[in-house]
Amino acid sequence: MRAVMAACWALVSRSVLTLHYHHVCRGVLLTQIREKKRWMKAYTLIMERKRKMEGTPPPTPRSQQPNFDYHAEVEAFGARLQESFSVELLKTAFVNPCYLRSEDERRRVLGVDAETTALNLKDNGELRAHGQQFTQGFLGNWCRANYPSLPEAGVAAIVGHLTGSEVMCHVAQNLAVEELTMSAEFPVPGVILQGTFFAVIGALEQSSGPVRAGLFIRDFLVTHLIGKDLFDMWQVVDPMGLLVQELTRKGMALPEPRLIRSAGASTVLPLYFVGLYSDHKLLAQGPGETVLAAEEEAARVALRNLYGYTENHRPWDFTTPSEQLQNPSTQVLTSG
Amino acid sequence: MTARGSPSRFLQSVLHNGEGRYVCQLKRISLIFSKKGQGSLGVRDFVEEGVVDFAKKNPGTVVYISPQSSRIPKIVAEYLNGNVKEETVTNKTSQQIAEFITKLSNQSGLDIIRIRKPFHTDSPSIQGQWHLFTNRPPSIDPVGPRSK
Repeated sequence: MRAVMAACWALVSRSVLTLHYHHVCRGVLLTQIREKKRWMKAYTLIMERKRKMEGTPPPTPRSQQPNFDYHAEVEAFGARLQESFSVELLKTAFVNPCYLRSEDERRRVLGVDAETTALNLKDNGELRAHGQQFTQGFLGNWCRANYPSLPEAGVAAIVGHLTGSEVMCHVAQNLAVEELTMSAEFPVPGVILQGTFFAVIGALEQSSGPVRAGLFIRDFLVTHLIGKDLFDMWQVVDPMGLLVQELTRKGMALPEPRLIRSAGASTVLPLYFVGLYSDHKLLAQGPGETVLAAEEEAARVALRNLYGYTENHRPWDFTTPSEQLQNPSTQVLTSG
Repeated sequence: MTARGSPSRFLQSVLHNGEGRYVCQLKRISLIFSKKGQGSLGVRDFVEEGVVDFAKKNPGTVVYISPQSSRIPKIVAEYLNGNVKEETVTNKTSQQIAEFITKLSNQSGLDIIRIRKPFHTDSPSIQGQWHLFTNRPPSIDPVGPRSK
């Protein structure tokens, strides 16, 4: 009897009252029903319109999303790279001066007492400078050891490319350095990210020594040279002039260009091969669409051969120190 | 779908992984499950038995256990290249979840789509790529079609 009355009352209430109240029985009133919600479509359309007007919401840093424990992440960072960092140095390396400034500013704006809530953080300025100097020194030594005939301008160009913003930021983002960086803005600007990565290298050098830090730089920065051409990184405006300088320094005869091959001279895609001869012996030959372009390419090929930075050069040594100890005979060129 | 209709990529590695040293690409794994729901039974068993061993074997991966009042248990894996992979594990056994998590830790974060070529090389040619004039004897006169 009671159940029938309750059912009748439920039926009556559904049709008569607004659909937001559902009398289950005399004492129980549910404000949510599991049936199709009439307000859902209107709500969704309004939120879509709002999103279209305002654009997508700005990205938030991973540290402000759920499931992020800073200390655990910092320890995992070191373990992942198979390096033993000192945790304090590493945490200092991630703190940027812009972050300290913005935090002080926030405290000042909120009117909080400066002494009780002072930030006990040191910024990464020293570590950054130290890391930058160490990285550039190590990379310069590596280049000179592997390419002894490469001039200083070339070494500087390669080192500049590897320590430049693009490569460093790419490496830092793919090693999760960006998530741990403490900076004022998000997304972290390239310069600050590059500085933080230098600071991390500085922290590694101070924790584990220059040998381990050198291996780290070799494994993560030098690998970006794989597949890259020398003149992509080193912008040489006049390769022929540079070649003449190199040959005079070596005491060889000056290069004479001669047209070796030509095909399709009167077509849309002509092909000329120009060979450079020094003392009647072929130095290098290069292709081009016009004779001048072919001569310049031949000069570049000659320079690549002289410096030893060809595509078929002997592969660089990326073995670990334990493997190097086991096979000393197969090592030819080691890092500096 | 067809090969042209679905996305594809070339074989690649994140940051030349393995050429220098090997870095485990899984950086964070979150287990989201409910304390009482029956779909999360496998996850709860895995949390009791296997998760600590997994965390010890992979010190570079941070494991987050978040029991929430959720009907669907999920595993969220984040990789170093930024990709996030979510998978529901309702009604799976603890063994299956353990295997699945090992599979996730062995993956790089790159998309699981068709790989165009099963090989990749940065130095495709050692002796120099063949062109029309390789091994062709030079001649001063223009070369016409070969006469028999």
